[in-house]
Amino acid sequence: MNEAIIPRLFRERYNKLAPSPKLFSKIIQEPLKPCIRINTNKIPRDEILSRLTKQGWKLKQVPFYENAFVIENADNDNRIGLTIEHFIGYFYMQEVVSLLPAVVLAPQKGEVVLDVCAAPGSKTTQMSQMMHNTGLIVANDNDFMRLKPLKYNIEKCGCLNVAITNIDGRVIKGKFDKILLDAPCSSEGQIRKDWKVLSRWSEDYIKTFSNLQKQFIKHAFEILKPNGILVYSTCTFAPEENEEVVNYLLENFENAKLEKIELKDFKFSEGISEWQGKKFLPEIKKCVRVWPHQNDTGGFFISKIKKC
Amino acid sequence: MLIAELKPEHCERILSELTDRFGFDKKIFNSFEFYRTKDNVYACTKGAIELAKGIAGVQDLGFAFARFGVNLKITTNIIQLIGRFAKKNFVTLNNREARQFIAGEDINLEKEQSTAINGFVIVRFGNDNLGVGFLRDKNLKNLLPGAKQLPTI
Repeated sequence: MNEAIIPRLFRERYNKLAPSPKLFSKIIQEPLKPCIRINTNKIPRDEILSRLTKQGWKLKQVPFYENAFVIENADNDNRIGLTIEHFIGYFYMQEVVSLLPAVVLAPQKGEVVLDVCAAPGSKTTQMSQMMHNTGLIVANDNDFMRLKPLKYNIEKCGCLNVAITNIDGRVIKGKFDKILLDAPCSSEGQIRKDWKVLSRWSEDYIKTFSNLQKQFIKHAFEILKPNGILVYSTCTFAPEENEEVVNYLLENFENAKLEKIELKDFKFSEGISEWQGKKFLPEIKKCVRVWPHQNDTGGFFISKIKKC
Repeated sequence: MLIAELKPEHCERILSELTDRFGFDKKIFNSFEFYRTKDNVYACTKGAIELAKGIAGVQDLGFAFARFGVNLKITTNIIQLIGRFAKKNFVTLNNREARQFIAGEDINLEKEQSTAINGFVIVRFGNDNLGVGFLRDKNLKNLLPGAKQLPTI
């Protein structure tokens, strides 16, 4: 990627915010290594690992999730995506950071879980296998056009415990044990995958998402059962879409408590305490920021909230 | 979604038809629950229908298990999930044939298939279940849905 196309405001913003800004600027111009998630709904982990290894794929374990592996010797022509194993759905191509929300939410057998913005279904299908295809996941997406790939992936991964809905995430009805709100966002953390993210980027764009995300998180918290867990995440760096949104929830709901997140052998930064003159609550530090250069991944933000 | 619950006798008939054809042990369906729409029988996790009753606007629950027609056709998605439990009426392809099948082509089988009689069959490559075909003598009609076909595999 040509550095000249990185907007000046973007560079200035993240020079202030990112740890090791030079490393950050460098890595966002490098492509991501692909990652696969073994689909244990269809095949035991060790069986598919043995098959892929015999075919010559070099697999590096993702430290915080035993069923995911980075392909160390991937090529540009996506040969791993053209294998019979992928055709049958023995594994699913999913970015490392995209595995985080389901791991933090930790859905259990028999629970009722809502995935508010589910398409194309990466996290829904991951949760289905974590729940051993039991209970119920409501996979919702507001965008009708995105239901087709969502349905396709659910079927391909053999997820029998998923119901699809097509409702505005701000008016969904029901009561849920756990909710995953991987909110629509400005997608800054996706730059390594799609640098066109920057062509849409502006501070107004960020503010528009921030307002929408506050409405989403408020409603998600309202439909959570007592003692339920809400995971709020985005694939962006903008504090307005991250700490500010979680801070808004904590300020408006006394029974919303942030929980600490632990990720084994995976580097991250804590949530920031202040942005552009606005101070956040001290517990916002419990949020997690994943910068691309910390683990050679995309960028991500994640928080875990309990309804007390 | 308009879920029409499948009457136990209809469910029994459908499962019997499929278990007779493919030699499934009916116990593998113990964790499933079934319902029907206009043209399809759907399968989902046991208990999911009850849990979904409290949710507004459900469009799909689980996925299509079999389609009604002159004969009942089990779907590719279900075969890729439970096909390994089938004991009869499967066709095993060689490497070239498997790639043709995945690309969506009909296949003139090189070998007579001793494990299958004419009609719907499970299509295998080694121990992997690729999908469903319709066998007529040595001709295997490809029933892989277009969205699943991979022309360049």
